[in-house]
Amino acid sequence: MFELIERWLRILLLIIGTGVFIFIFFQLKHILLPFVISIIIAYVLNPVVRMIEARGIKRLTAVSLLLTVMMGGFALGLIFGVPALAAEIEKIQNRLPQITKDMKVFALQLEGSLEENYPMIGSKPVIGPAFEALEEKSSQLAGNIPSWIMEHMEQIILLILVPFNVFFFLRDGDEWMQKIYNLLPNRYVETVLSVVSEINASLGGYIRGLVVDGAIVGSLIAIGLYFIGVDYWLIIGLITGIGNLIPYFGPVLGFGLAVLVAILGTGGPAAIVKIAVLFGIVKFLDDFFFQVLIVGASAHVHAVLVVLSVFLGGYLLGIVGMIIAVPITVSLQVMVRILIDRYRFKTVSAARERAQADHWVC
Amino acid sequence: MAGFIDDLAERVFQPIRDPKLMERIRFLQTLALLKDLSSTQVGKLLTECIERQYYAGDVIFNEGDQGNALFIVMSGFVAIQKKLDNGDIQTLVNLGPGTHFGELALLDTLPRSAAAVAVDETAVLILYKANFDALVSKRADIGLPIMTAVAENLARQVRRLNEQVFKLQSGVPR
Repeated sequence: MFELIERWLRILLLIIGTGVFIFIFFQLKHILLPFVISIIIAYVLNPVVRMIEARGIKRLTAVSLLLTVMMGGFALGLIFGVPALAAEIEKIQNRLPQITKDMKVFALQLEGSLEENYPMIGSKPVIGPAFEALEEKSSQLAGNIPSWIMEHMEQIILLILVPFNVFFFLRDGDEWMQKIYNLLPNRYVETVLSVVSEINASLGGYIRGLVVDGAIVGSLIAIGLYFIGVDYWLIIGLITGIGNLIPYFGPVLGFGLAVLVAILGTGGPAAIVKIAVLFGIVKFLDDFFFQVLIVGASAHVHAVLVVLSVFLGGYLLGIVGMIIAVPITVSLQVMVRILIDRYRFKTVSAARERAQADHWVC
Repeated sequence: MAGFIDDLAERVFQPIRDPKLMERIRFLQTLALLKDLSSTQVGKLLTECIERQYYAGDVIFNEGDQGNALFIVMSGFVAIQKKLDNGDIQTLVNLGPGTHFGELALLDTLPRSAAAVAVDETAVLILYKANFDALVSKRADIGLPIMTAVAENLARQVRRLNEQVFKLQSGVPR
């Protein structure tokens, strides 16, 4: 009787503790993005650190070596990439009012054509007022990008902390996990280890592969758009690569942006066709080669569950939620499966298992 | 090519190796289970293991528990015990540093055939089955020699058991 009460009390404490953790998580979600990014980067780089550690190198030395090489590469990327990015942002800033005017003319023509061919729609001034508001916003934005940066300085500073966070997560992450294992009661050690190991096995390759896959897809799109002659090829490639982290939605975002730029630019219908072919080829290569070779065994989550979890993650936590939705779903799936297996194992008679011994081994 | 890269890596990393870590790797290489592995391969295995401390009397696992991990004794002693029909506990063997137990869990997840209890303050390395399976599939150069060593050990035990059963059945004194 007391054992049952004790067990239910433990479950209740666990539920309350989880609830408190989730509550705090939601209260602090606006500053969590840099830490989530740091944890993802550290998780992706951990196998490389372990590979260096396997050679008998101390972890601190391994982490320092790896991050030095990476920061060097990142600095080179900044030296060559920032001027090109800045030039593209300046182009957008200068062209934004004209782009908005062009979009308004196009939308008004479309509205007029629809009213002429389908009089039952009736004339209601929708497009005009909507675009007046958009014009006002875009004029403000065109002149105020620097002040937008100032307003969001807190988030930008937190992002700058990412490399420092990555260093500490990489250096101390395994040690922290070790301390948690040491705190566990003996009877729970193997169950917790089994959950952690199987989540790692399911998720590890998936997350690492996704990051590499995003980099390859983003690079291919950027190079392809450059040769097609689409403006802002670098930004669109970057957005497509980052968007690739979000299943199903990311590639659509990149394609939509590229088509929009082509419509508003001087590319014409031919450019749109080329963009569609480019995205089609890259998607084909991604689905049949890159994902198979790089992402490897999938996380074994049903596609409907993936879409649902991404929607839920986006609703609850915005971009952060959309990125971490699939990893959390995979982790929960593994935990539930293992706990069900453990429960089933306890109810199956061990004698019945032994009675199924095959043959005498000599 | 892989051998060349390994040699190059050895020369590059030699000056910055951690002596304590290397000592640990050399200690593990003395285990029968890992005798066929190089220091780099043992180092890789070490990164897949989790270390845990037990105090005297701590139950590492009970007879009948679902087995999911191999344990390597780094320090201290572990008693492998079995419960008899009359309820008494019999210690089958005491395992010291450099030995291993629970290897059957790498082959299947059937119930543990005996219990393991820490005799004094003991440090063990735990290799969980999922990590071992990943090693076998992605690093067969590490996983297969371990699997072979486990199989050889089991084969020796089965032959010994067969002889004992034969002697018991034929009434030949041991």
